Amino acid sequence: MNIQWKAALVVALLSATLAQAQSNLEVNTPAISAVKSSMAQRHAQLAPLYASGAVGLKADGSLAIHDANAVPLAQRGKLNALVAAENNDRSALYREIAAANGHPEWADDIRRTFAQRWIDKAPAGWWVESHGGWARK
Amino acid sequence: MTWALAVILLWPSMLWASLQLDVGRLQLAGLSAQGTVLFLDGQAGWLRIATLEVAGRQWRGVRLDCPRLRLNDGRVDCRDASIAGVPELADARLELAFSTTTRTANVTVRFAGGGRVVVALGPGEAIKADLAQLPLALAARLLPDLARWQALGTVSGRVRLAGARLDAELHLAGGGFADAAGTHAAEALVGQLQLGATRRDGAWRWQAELAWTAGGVFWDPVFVPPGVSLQANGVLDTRQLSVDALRLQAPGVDAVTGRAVIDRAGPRLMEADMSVHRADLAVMVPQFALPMLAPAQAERWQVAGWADATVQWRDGRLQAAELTLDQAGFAYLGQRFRVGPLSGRLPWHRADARAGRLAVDGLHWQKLDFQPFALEVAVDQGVVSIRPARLPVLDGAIIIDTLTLARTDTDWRGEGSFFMEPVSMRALTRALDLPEMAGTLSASMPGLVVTPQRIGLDGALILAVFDGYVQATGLEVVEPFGLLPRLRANVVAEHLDLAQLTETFSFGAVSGFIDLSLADLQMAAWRPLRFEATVRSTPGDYPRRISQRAVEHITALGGASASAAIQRSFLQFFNDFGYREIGLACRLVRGVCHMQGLEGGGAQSAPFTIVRGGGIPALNVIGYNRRVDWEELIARIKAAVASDAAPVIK
Repeated sequence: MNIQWKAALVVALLSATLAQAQSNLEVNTPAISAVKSSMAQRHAQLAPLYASGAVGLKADGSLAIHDANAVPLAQRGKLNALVAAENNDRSALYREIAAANGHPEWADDIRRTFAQRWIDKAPAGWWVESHGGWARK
Repeated sequence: MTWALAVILLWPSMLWASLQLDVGRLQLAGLSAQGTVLFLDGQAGWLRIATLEVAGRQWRGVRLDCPRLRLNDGRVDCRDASIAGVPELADARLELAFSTTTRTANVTVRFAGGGRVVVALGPGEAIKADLAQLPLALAARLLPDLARWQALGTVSGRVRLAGARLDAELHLAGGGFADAAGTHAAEALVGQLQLGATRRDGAWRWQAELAWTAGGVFWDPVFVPPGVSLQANGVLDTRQLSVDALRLQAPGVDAVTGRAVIDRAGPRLMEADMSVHRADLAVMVPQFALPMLAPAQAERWQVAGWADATVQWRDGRLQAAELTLDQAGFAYLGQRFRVGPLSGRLPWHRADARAGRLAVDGLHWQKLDFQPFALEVAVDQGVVSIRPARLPVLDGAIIIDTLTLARTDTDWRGEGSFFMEPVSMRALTRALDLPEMAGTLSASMPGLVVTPQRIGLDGALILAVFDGYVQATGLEVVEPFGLLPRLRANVVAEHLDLAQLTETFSFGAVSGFIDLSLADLQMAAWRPLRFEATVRSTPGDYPRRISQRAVEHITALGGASASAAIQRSFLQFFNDFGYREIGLACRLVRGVCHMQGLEGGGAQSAPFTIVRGGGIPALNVIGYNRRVDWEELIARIKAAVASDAAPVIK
């Protein structure tokens, strides 16, 4: 599986997640576009990290470092920064969708919905966290 | 070397060639063996030790097997020996040579995984140890806690202990370690340690030199590259480790010097004076500060300049610190926000207030340049107060009246008040590449609150423009340092001169005045998310005319074909028209502008009046589309402004 193919898959996954979700998840605002565009740009860097197991999907809709050993030592600081930036974006996405629906208090529900979808749609080989801990799909 | 031969029992056994020697207690430099029995059988032999102690460690039931043993002229040579009962040496082969005449012993240990140690125990207290490519992983055998670190690499070198003098020279090659998650790891480390120590009155006076020349260490979240050298000396006793002088050199810093006292119980740093000399902020901040303070935004900050720092540690806690900046500069998001060069000093003391000063030679936001200014700072424990200061910008200034920054349980919080000496709109709009406007901008903000999550401004920002004024209140920026800063405000404007306004924005010509209200404005990344806007003619008696071009533009906002009606009628022969009132409202929700005209609300399909005509000739502008996509509306306004040429009259 080459990197470009995976990147395309995940961008498609993001769109599919939004498209297939309940209607209130489809909402788009300038803020949501900005976040999605930022996430899409970052994805080229994240895709090989999902595949190598360095990064995994958490049950709470965020990313986490699963095995930093998969990344050269000098790049691990950058790995931290990527995961932190992606998690910032993801939190912003859940919050913005809730706000655009006029219900900021829905952010946690939206986060859970997305978390499950990210995990369901993740390709085989990616690491995902469930209540039993980390597992490889 | 002392021999305590408790019992020597010569036991003529059944086999005359065998011999058993009960040595009892054996003591050599740093080694003690109790219950020692030597058994000799021709060319072979074994040694049984009930309790063996070396350097404070103890093993019981130790057995040394010597398949090739020679006893000759007071020399004992044991080759190809193996040892049981000492797990650390389980896979090792030993060679032992002991001379009763010179009272010296040589032990060579070869490990199955590579690596060799040759230990020579001389007369008196002398011990020499030579290490050749000794795997670091063996250290885990001595210290089981190290096993989870998966140590790699080899150590070579020599250690000499002669009476009260210890010298060591050790080289590490290919060193590394990693925890299970890889968040604390090192690779390909190369370095060397030289240590000398002299024992006197129960304490070791030591000097050490450490050079780390290759490889890297990642200690979450910081990656440290090689090129670090350290020289230090001090005293080690049973109670504490004193570092009397320390000098560290590393990439990005001229030197770190200092002294420290560490209580060995704990261990705990009790006292220290450290100085950082000329740290290159362009190296040190991205490497150490940003990964710890703002990893998600690490790549958004650019830092330059130099800093010196001193730290005083007393009674186990931080007592005082001082940061001196020299030509420091910070830029956020490319060049959007820049501060610097910035020079000055910021002191801090646990018990007393200290005064500092920062000279700011530049502050730039977007295209707005502030002129140099100075900040006098008082640092009182956890609170930083900035004395009243004047920050000149364009032809006015921002006056900081009060500003304090304080640490909270989880973060920090700033509070204060400021106001603005009026800045001319002409200078401001020119600086920001906006259409030039006359008027002034001023502000009075008695209540400013800044936290990492929010900037709140109680008070009003006032623009005196277009013969009227615009006032913004309830200003709030949410997540100002986040990926998506959000602005909230309520804006009202009164008595804006339409003639100046339409001329400035090339929107045809309209005379008269309007009032505007923009309630509950929310913006993200400078794009509006929601607001409730209303525009109305200002009540009063004044001439009200609207040019055909302006009508064209207003109607064009409703769609490309909306203006065609004018051009088909006799109205095309007039350049302008009289009007009685202008009124338009837009409630922006989820990217859609819900419009209303002068009549207020109405059915979705009901037309609404935007301009009510009056005088001769009079003209009504009617809107038909109450739901307009915001992005499309903006595109139409841009198109209308861009195409502000005289309309073609057919």
